[in-house]
Amino acid sequence: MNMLFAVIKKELLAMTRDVHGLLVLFVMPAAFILVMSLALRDTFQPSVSEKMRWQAWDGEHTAESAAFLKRLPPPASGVRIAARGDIERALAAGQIQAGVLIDGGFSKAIADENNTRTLVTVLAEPGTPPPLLAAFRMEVTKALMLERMAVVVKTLTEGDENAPKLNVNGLTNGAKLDFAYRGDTGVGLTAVQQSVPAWLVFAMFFVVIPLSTIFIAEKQLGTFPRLRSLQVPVGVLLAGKVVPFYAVNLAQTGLMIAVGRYGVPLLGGDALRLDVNWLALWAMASAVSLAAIGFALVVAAVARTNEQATTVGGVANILFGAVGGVMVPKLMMPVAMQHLSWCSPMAWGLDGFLDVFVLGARIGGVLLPLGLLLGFSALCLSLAWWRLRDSV
Amino acid sequence: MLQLTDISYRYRVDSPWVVDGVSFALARGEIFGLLGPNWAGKSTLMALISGLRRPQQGEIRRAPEVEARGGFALVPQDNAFYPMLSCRENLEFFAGVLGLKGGLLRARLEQAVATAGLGQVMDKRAGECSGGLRRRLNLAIGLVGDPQLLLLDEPTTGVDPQSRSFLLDAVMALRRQGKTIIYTSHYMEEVQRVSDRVAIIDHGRLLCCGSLGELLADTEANPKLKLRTRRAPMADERAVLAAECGLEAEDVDGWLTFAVPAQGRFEDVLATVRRLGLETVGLQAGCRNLEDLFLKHTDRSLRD
Repeated sequence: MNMLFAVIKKELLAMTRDVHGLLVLFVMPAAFILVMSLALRDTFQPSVSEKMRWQAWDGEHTAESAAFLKRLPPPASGVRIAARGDIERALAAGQIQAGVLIDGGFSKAIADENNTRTLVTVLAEPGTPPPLLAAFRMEVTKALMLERMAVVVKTLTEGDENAPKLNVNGLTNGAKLDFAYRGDTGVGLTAVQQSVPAWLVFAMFFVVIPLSTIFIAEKQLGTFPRLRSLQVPVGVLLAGKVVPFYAVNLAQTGLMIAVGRYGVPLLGGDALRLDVNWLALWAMASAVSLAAIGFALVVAAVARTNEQATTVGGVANILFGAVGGVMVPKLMMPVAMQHLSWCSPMAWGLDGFLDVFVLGARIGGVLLPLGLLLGFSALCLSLAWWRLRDSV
Repeated sequence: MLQLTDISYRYRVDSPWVVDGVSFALARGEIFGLLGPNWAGKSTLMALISGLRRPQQGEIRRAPEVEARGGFALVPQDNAFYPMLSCRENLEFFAGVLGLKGGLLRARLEQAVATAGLGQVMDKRAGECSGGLRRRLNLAIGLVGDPQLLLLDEPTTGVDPQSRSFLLDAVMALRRQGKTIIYTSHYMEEVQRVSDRVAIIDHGRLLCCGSLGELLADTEANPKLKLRTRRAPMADERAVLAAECGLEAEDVDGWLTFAVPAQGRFEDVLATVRRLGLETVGLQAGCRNLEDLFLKHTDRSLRD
């Protein structure tokens, strides 16, 4: 323990002596968050229409409900919905971007001019582009109005004495639509809500540069073999790196959240919403940090020179970021690219953070990204240990 | 204190042995000079002795006090410390790694600092120290654990004569304290000055090993006579000197080197030189030394 404490203390001292290197880890992502939150703000405003992947659960199965669904654009094929819960599961799995829920009593309520109950509920995946959601919402509203008109006209033409009197307001008043995001926070995806986790993940992985530089300097200076000759286990040397850089990553998390919350609004952008589960946020930050540090240690263990480490680490980070939805948000990528993004550990981190920031996910809601990140970290640390165990 | 028996090591199965069947033993309190040209296998042998590598053949046995934590220390030829930390922080870190704390840590630091003469610069960043100070810090770090066996790998490389002299005095002071030291260097006069016994290694093999007296008394290593004449000898004179006196070489400064046969005498060479009308203006008699021995064993061809 004393040995580990000495190594950690030395790492912290060494880090404080490289203030410029440390500043880069904080200033770079903060600047990105400010710039990208403002630059992407309009992109997240509803203005365009695209094809939507959706499915419906029809709890009534009447001619009216079927006619209503027929008025909507074609649903996603290959997604079977047998029960109401299937909609949420398909949304969570990313198979669909919106689910249309029709509860029993739809036919009766749609014919009622004074109806106050919700006819249709649309559940949307928070990662769906807002313009697409807006367009779909309009499609659903239009279909409801048309279906209501059809019902009213039908009852009039059939000479029903109880038929409602036709007036303009009556056509729309009863078409109640409820719109909600999957999850319970009600926080939509905005530019700042996307930028903070995205650039935070990127910044956390950026520790590959200072960490590998320090480690390779130790190998080149001869301190690494010297410590090994003093029978300091490789595991202690690795742990000595993990602890200080984990602290750096947590400090990054705090600062980036503050920038999103207070810095971006100062420049005219939206403020980061923080209706989050803090335990889940800490768990995600820790998992991303361990994955980033593990990756950095593998690079440091394999590379022979600083040039190799900074090149390999830097390029890998940019690729992880580009594929993982940091630089271009995943929701703007084609579906095939969105699937490819799962190759990037940054995507796991970003998806988990978005679940926390947008959906208000608890620990149970981010188990998949947590597992992937911790598995990646364990693999990387094992590789680094294996590579360094006989290294002199 | 340390016993190596038929140690061999190579980096790959299909590569030549870098250390090939090396055996020697060290007694407590002796300084063992290890000499060899570049790529001779010295550093690998040091890595094997310090436990950084494991021999593929043979056995290394260490005394219990050497096996104990901090019982031996490698002082590498690189300045193996953290340039961004102060001398004090470096020493405290390495002491901490060895598990030292409290009064023991302070006592060991004081001792190491005194031996290495670092008292005035303890709070200076290591990277800002002069070459000599860095070397002394490198040595001091090796001393904080109070090791019984010290492996000093070219400890005086790149320092001025004053620092070199200080370091050599420090090494001899350590011997007086009963430390056992393996000392490698390219500076023959250093090894000759501090070592009780010397070994020469090349191509991974131990070529000779023994006390300086034993090695320099080797009959094959003829004593040398070097002299400089006012004028350079003519070709015919040079032929006479070669035939009668064993003239071996003539360097650019005009020094003539004679390999005097064991039964020959320096006076015979001087008489011949006088007979040829050459006036002697410089003389080095009996100059057989470690460098001659080293070059005899490792030949004169360049290694890099």
